Amino acid sequence: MAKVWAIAFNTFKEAVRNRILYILLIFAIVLLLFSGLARELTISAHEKIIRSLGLGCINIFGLLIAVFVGIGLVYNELDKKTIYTIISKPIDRWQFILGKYFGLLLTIYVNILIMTLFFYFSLYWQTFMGSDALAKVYAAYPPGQAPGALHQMGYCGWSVLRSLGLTLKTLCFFPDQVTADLQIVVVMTCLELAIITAFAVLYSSFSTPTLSAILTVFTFVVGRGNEDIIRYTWYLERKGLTSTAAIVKYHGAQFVAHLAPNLKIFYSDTCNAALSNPPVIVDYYAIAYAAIYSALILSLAVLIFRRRNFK
Amino acid sequence: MARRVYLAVFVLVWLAVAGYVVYRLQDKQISKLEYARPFRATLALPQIVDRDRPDSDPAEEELPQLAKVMALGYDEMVASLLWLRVIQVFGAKLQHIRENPLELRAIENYFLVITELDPRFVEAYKFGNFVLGDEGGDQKAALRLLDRGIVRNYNRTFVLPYEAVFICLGSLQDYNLARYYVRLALRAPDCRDYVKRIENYIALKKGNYEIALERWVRDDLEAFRNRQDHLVEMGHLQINNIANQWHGSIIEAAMERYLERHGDYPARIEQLEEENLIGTVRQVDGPRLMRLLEGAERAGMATNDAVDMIMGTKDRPGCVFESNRLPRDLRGEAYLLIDEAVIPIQQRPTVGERLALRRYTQGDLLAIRRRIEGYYKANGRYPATLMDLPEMQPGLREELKHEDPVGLPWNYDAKTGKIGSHVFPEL
Repeated sequence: MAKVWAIAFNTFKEAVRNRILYILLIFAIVLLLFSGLARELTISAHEKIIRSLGLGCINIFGLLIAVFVGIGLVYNELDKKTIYTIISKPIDRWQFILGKYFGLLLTIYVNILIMTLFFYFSLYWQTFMGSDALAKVYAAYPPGQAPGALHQMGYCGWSVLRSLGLTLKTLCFFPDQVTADLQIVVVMTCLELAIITAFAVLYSSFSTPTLSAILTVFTFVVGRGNEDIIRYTWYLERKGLTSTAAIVKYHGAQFVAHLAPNLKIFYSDTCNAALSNPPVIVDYYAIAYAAIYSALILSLAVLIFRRRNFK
Repeated sequence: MARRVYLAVFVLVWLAVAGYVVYRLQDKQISKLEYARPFRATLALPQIVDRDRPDSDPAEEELPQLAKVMALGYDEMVASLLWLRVIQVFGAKLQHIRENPLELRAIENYFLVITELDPRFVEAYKFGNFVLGDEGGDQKAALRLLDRGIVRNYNRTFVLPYEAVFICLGSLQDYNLARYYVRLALRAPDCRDYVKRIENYIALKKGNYEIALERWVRDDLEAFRNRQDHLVEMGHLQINNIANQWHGSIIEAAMERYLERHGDYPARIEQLEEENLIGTVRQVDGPRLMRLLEGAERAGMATNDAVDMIMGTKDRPGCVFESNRLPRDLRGEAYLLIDEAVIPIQQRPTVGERLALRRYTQGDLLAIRRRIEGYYKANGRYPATLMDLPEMQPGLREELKHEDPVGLPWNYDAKTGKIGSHVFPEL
């Protein structure tokens, strides 16, 4: 396993040198902080808007990182011929694939951690700088008299420090009422991305980056639409499976729905529960599902990669 | 060689086992879905809102369901973005939505999509109700949207059925439907105390005076027990109001019978009793009601026992009784029939509460007389009309220049500066 971790850390180091990663990360952070401005655009449901936009940003950018960094993982090694230096060492191919997978996963999770940090910071910051909190500060002064510049700066600085402290506390799995349930959504996002990353590695093991990107995104779309595909089969059933085309469509859809991962149970369902129907209950079934599905896809990737000829 | 065979067998077994487990888990998830979520033909082609038929119901179209599929699981995020968008759209089209039904339909579509994506977005239903109903003037569309919200948030929040109650009471005037929504609101765990009192109001509006009275008596007693002074005061006012409306309806019915018999309204209210036109009807013994109510409050009786005592049971009479006499108000005073000589014969006389009207008229007369004296001192003459008087003091009704509390013009003489009331000439 030491060899797997060595490859994983190397993959991580390689990924953090990737410029696209930083572009995505900066873009995500700007968007996360911008979501605070959405507060000013809405007439009510402020918290809900900020939370849904923030969680959505984390998930989308995690996905983009998985796709754009993951698709070139194996291909680049083959393209630059660096694979020869690796396989000439006593490293098995499954160790290489697993190392790549865990390295990419580590990169994604570190990025999610950074995005979550900014997201929580933004949430806490707004609890201190929101109109209710500021009204309490101003209430301490006589009517018509505003706090001085020094006091305002002091309050801002104190809010920043307090927000940072609370963010770090939450990230250490001590959530409070501001971030309660959001932690589970972030964890579920990580599980979902574990499956997507496995697919990215699988596609990367036998195809070009462009094709890998297309296939990974396609898998994501099918995975998120899994429930709708099932509904579509019910629709066909209700209409009656009278023609050959209808039967083919029905069985094709059933096959795809059973083959593709059901990704809605991760981010979508927990986000829905966290924002609309708290508290969220940890779905251990989803955790087991993500672990087994990822392992299955990685096994396929190993199987394909083992038979691959590098000449 | 043997190692390779073992490895191949292991991989095959692993793939078979893992594949089977994933298949079973997937299947379990799908079967759960079948029970948990209702069927919708989500992938069927949507019939986009027909612009030639602005009156068709967009909830029946499949656009919202298609939007849900297209959101790819980012339902809350897309709903939030559309929510921000619909606020801007509403702001921009505020002036046109009443005039152009298509604009209103477009905004309705926004709300349908938002609430399909996030069915528990209570604020979206509330704001949608405001935009479609209050601003757009389409109360039925607003009620449709609220109905969607009520079904999807059943027993979760009282807010949505509570909003629906006001549509039913206001523009639709459907008291049975309003009562249904009140009952729904009362089931929600977050329901506020004031919601149940709307049912009292509905009973009154439907003409179920006895039920309304019983409900208010109960609320009044409970408020007294809980030392909620403002509610006790409100309860007394409402009991007074119910008694007046109840008795007013009895007198009005008698007057209709009088009109049928004589072709004219009576000059005196007593004529209704003299000609036996009241009939044997249930009415409230006001002074007895107040005595029993105050007695129950003082004695600290259990609410149910006190209500039984006040409203009466089969064995023990309460404050409600049957009589063919003219009803009287809570103080035992006779009601007033406004003089037909003042009001045109075609106009229907109204029933008022004599003491209160007299008190208000007295107060208004005092204020106007002071103004007239002030005008005389300043100008050396009396005003030609009451409209020449300067602005009334803050807090006084400006309308009192035009009419007395009954709604009739004052009896004013510009030569002598004397002012009086047609209804209460003695004042």
